[in-house]
Amino acid sequence: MATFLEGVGSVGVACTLAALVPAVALVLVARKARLTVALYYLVGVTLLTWARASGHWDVELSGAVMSLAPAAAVAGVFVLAYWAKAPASLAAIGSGLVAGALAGWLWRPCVGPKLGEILNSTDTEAARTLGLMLVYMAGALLPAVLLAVLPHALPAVRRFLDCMPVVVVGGAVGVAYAVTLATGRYDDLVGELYRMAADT
Amino acid sequence: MVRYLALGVLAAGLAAIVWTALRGDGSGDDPAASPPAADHRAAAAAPTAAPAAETAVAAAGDAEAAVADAADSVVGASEPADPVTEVPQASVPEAATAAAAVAAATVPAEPIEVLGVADTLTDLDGWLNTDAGSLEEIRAANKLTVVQFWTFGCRNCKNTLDALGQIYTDFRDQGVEIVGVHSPEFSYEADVDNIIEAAADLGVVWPIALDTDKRNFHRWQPGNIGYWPRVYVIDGDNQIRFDRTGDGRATYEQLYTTVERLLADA
Repeated sequence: MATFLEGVGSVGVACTLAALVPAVALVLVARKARLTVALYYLVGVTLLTWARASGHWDVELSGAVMSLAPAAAVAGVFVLAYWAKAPASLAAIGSGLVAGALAGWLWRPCVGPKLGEILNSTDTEAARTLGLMLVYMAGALLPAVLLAVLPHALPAVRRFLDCMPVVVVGGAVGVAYAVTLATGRYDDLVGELYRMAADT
Repeated sequence: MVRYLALGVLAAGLAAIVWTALRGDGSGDDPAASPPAADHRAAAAAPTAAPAAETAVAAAGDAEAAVADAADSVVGASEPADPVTEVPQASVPEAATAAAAVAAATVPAEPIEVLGVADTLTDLDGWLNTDAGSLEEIRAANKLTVVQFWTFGCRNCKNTLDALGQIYTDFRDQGVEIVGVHSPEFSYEADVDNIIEAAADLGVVWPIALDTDKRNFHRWQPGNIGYWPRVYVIDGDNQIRFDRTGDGRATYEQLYTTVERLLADA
């Protein structure tokens, strides 16, 4: 529980926004499969964050590939999420999983006590730390998951979320995500968003 | 049925957010030094402490002038002073000392293993709070060096500063130096003026290495990882004896006892 709550507490931290903002945007875009996309995003980001910490994923891109490959992947997953026709579709699962994995790959977290315990033990307690990482990320991505659950709880909200302007907002964030990744300015964008939020 | 389940998830999620908002991060494990934080910061911000006022700046190339100008503009820098005297003893949190003592008493007397050979710091944009120009210089003048990668905008990094201040206060005169490698995540954290202002506000009186492009951050944390904060202890033989990530109280109590034991062995 403490691990989950630490994840929830990290929602207001700029470091976490780097992983959370794409998740929220993807949920807005995936009209037919919001919950599937959110849950598989959670799985993807958990797996990659854990794999990086434990040394199982040690891939580093360089040069133009470093900028263009993630940007192309982002563009692809947003299109895929938009075109997903059903919750159990391959497009929904794939877009969530790939987008989450990408976020987990790029994410540089600010580490609190519980996340620190997890990261410090990934090489010695694989299964336990993987489970705890999932719990932590469930907290950190809670706004995206709740946004995905919302239409199931309140049908009136579904109509609002399904309208095109909302989808366009999600898509615009996705485009900004891709462009800033391609230009190497993603961290700066998140930093500015955080500062604007903190100032208001 | 699905709707009620969704409503349940929604209610539970919102409750968790409200709970966390009311209780801080909500985790059972406290960050490194939350209770003493106010004490240390208050002491550091006190006029007698004025750590930034005596900030000695050493920077390379263009960065040197920029850093020096920034120091002047922020605090009206005067001559350097011994930073050890800038942390009043009264600021030492007794609770943390007691906790560290308890931790020390319960730590089994196993040898502190060598985790590898420490890297150096290269391609820096300058130094703050020191006349030294390299990590080697600092290492040569001390028995132990605590190296922490941090950035001033990171909440978890800020949680550790009082625990580091405790170590600085208790062990500085025994040959322990702290080096805060400032590796910014966002552009506003890369601005030297902002770093100097934040260091003064946060009571960071130990040397700060400006790793603006995060070259050292990535080199010290190889394999496509990078966490804030991450802390190492380097002994006199340039060997890493402690390496932990995060701001947990247990981590920084362990850091304290590790420094204490290594000093005793030195």
